[in-house]
Amino acid sequence: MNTEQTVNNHEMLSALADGQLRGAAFVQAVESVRHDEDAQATWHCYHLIGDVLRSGELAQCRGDNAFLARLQTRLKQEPGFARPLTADAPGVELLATQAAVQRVTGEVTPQAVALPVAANAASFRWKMVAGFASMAAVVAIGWNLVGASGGMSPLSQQIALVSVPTPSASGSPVQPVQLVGAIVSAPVTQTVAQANGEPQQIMIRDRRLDELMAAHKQFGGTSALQMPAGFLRNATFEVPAR
Amino acid sequence: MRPEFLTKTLLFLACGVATLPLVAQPSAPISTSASVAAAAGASAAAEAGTQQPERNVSEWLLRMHNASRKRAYVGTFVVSSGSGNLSSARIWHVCNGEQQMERVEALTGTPRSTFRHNDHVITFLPESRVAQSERRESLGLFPNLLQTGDSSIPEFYGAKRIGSERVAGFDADVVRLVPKDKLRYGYRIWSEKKSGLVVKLQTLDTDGSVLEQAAFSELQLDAPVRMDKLAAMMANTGGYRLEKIEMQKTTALAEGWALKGDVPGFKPMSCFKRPAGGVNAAFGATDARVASPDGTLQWIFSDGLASVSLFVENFDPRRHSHEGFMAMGATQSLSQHVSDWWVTVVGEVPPQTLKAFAQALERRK
Repeated sequence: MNTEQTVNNHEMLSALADGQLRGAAFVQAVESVRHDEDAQATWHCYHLIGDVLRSGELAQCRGDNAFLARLQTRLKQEPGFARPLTADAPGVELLATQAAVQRVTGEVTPQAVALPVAANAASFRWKMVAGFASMAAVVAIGWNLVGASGGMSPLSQQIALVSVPTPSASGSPVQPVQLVGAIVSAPVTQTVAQANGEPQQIMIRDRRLDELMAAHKQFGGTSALQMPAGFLRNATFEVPAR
Repeated sequence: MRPEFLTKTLLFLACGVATLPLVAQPSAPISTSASVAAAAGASAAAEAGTQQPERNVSEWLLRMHNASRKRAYVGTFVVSSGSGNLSSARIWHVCNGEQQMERVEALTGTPRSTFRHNDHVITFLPESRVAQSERRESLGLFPNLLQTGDSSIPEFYGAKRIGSERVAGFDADVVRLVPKDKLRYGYRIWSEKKSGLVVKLQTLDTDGSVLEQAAFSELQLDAPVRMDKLAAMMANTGGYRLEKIEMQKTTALAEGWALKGDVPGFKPMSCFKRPAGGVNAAFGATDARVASPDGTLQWIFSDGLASVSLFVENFDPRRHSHEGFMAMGATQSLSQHVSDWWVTVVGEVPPQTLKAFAQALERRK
């Protein structure tokens, strides 16, 4: 019963320290602290604990190096930690311990903190997997690049649309170019990757061809389908090279 | 049975038989069997179904052409090429007897408004404040040819109705124009059922794949378009620099060019010489580097549905460096260096036709 009452008292004190008591309970708790020395000691203890938890500066305990040394030895003896094969590369857990020791003792360790090494760094199998994966990624990207430009002969790459800043003096409107580069060889034509209509992607040579195409549309549109589809198509489809 | 009822039945049958001659074709034998009115009715229906004879290609084309001359419409026209490019424009069309007016407001690319009044075309370019005016004689050419049967279209194309589909809100007949040789492209045309107006047009490659498609995405037939309003807009060139595209009409022979052998189906239509000079006003290029100082010759051929332009100019090694084929939608082009000349052939035809033209060209002078 005594322990029970003690526990109750401690709970009440804790609630008081947290500011959770109101009204009659508050009054009762304060009265108990006033008249009970144990309660006062507990009260002091609770506040000390809270302050230490909230502020690290107060946690200076210089006298406990022996405890820490014992802790380190004990940790080393634990079987659960992965052991790095290289003795010089510090494991993460050692670093963590060092950091903790640093914090607690307030000592500044002169040695520089090395980068943490991956836990499976020493395992050769995983190195192989990583190497293979990166190579596969490189191949995939390279394949995409080659595939996109595949089919283009070096010849047509000359006329492949390259951003050319058109002279600002020219007031002609830019052409949404839908040129499909093709390859020269007498009977066979190959159409090449489509260039999307980005403005200002015309080389001078192509502009001339666009002009001729426009002229063809204008004056060469002699077709029974001219009205309305042909005329409308010509008026809609391309920008006159003007 | 009561006599009155019998009389009425007989009268009814008699009327049915009497109307048969009106339903059946004149050449079809008139069914005189009075006792099988139902069968007669069925055969009459069958005759009526096949009554519409299959139109030949000239008839289809003429119908399509006339449809656009008789109805006013407003719509959105979309052109897309097989490679995925899309352009669209808003169309107003009105006709008043023989007067045709059209306004095309391009929605893709450089803003431009094209107005057409019969064969007079003006294009307004608001960004550069230029209005280009020209006369297109080719626009009125074909209906006459189709009517008089003078064109060679039936020789080289066959027409077949392959079904019906709904486009832009209208029921349309799908007509396939099949080329009879490999020197031209085929077409699939959606012709609105009642008027014959072309609502969708596909240009098909030799293997049947779609090279280009031009269609109305939405269409309003018999829309209230005012011709006087369009005419006023067309005449309003205030604030625009008016450029007249004058082309010097000539003949190929006069220029010293001829074709060694005919490319089957294609007849020469007209020949123009671009004005010589530093600034190529006809092309409108303000960049002197691309001007053709000596004047380019444009020789136009057509087989009725497809047209080919043959451009000949003096060879200039600085400008003319790349020979080869190129394509823009259904339009193919071929550039070639022929002795002292640079020949460019452009047309909505397969590349081998362009090659045939380039090879047939010869200098006579």
